[in-house]
Parts: sequence; C-alpha cells; structure tokens
Amino acid sequence: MDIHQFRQLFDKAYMPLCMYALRITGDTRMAEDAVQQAMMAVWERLQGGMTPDNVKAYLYRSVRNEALKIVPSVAWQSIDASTVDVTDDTIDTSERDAALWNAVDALPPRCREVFLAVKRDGMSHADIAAQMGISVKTVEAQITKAMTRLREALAPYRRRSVRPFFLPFL
Amino acid sequence: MEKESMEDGIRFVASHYKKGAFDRVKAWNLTTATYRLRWRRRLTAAAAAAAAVVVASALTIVYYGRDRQPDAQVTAPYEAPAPAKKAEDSTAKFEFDGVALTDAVKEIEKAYGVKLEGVPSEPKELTLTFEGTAPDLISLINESLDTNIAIAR
Repeated sequence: MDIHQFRQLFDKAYMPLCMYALRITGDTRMAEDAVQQAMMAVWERLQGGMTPDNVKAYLYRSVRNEALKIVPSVAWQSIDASTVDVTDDTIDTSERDAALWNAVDALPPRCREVFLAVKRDGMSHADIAAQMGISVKTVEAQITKAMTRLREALAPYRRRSVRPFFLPFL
Repeated sequence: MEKESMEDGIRFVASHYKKGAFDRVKAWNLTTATYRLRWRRRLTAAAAAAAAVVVASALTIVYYGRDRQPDAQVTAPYEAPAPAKKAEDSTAKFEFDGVALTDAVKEIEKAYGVKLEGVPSEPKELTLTFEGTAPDLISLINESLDTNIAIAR
C-alpha cells in the first residue's frame, strides 16, 4: 500500500475510528491520541510488508488496543464489553456516529447551540428561549431544523437495516 | 429499534460534542510528521552507532600498530565478555501465506529458540511477511488474529 492509498483509507476511516475510540475512552483528546497512535503503528506495519486480510477490522482492533492502553485501568470496569469488541455492528455504529458528528458540526451555530442545549444539557424550550432571548417558537423551529438534518445524515444507515418488503416475517 | 439507535447516537454525539475536535487534516499531518521524526531518530541512532564502531576500530588499529620497546610489558586492554545475545533480541525472517497458526508457532519457536504460550486451540491461519525480533512478531500476530500469545518466561 503506498502513501496515497493509505491517505485515502485514513480520510475515510478517521472519523468512525475516532467515534469508536470515544466510546471506549469517553474523552475526545484520549480518542484522538489513540487513533493517531494506531494509524502510525498500522502504517509502519504496512510499510514493513504486512498484508492483513481485512484492513478495516485490523484498524479497529489497533485503535481498541491503543485506547485501552490510554484509559486508566481503574476505568476499565465501567467500559461496556460490547462497545470494545470489534464486530460488524461496532463498525456500523461508529460510522453512524461519525455521520451524526459531522452533521452536528455542519449545523448553523445558533441551531447547534439550541440543539446541544436540549440534547446535551436537557434544558426546556422555555429556558433556552429565555437564555438566548428568542421565542419558544424559534427554539422549536431550530430543533426541527437540526433533527431534519441529522435524519438526512443518517439516511444511508437506515437503508442498511430496511427489511425486504416481501419478507415481512423476518 | 431504528429510532432507539438514532436516539442513542444523538445522545452520545451531543454529550461529547466539542467544536474543533477530530480535525482530520491536522491528524494526518501529525501522523506523517511523527513517522518521519521516528525514522530520522532511527537513522541518526544507526549513524551514531556506525560512527562509534569506526572510531573504535581505528583506535584499536592505531593502538596495536604502534612500535613498542622490546622489553616493555604490553598488556592487552581488558575487554569485558560480550553479553550473550538474548533469544528475544535475535531477528529472523518469515513469510507465512495461509499457514496454520500451530505450524507457524513451531517455526517461530525453532527460529528464535523460545517457547510460546497462550496459543489458541481453534484453527486459525496466518498470512504475513516479517523480519525482526520475537516480541515484535508476537505483538503483530496478536493484533492480526486477536490472540493472546506470549513468550514463556
């Protein structure tokens, strides 16, 4: 694999890997460090001639190992084992989380502020309206706008789980 | 289930979101810069080691090539015996292509003069090309195949 191919892999996998590391570490800086260490280690091994069958799964396992090194051992007990195992579901969840993160990042600043106030801080619409000096209707409109954009971002991932219409018993 | 999945994702992202976190371009630049720095350090260390060998060889040649007084007592400089090279420090080269892990383990043990433990009983195949020390190879196999093999002490 040459540097250009690795760059393409890096660009595609970076955010989902960060989301996976974030689920393990619970901290954005630790997650960034884990992914960066893993990417460097994998690149060195690929340069050394290693050819894993599944590069994506290998990347996730490397990130998992780096993340577990960074997280203090006292915190291991609180990590959900199903989050740490590298499975197809783990990878799908990470890619979905990455799409959501990018969608939140792309929201207009005001809209993002309202969205985080509701979803992160648990504030009521009335409290948000009072704090930001806007009407409750405006708060509701901003929430609707945010949720619409997030649903659009998740559309490709919903299609993966759609059952075939002619097999309703599945 | 789908709605739950979206809600879980939204809660997770919202609770950790930080503007400016996970800058992909910055991460790439840092990864490649660190990789180049590591190689520069390795090359510098290798050059320093090579220079030390050259200087030591030159000094040895100069010392033993000097004319000496016939009745002068010459004693060879004391040389500490070279420490025996540990099995783990020796290097070997391997090329496995769909080889059964158990067979690969036998070859590795023979090549490095070590004993490996924690080899899984379920059949696994190994595909890799490697040249280096036993600890590095074992680490690579564990990451590739999700195993917990270790060198027995």
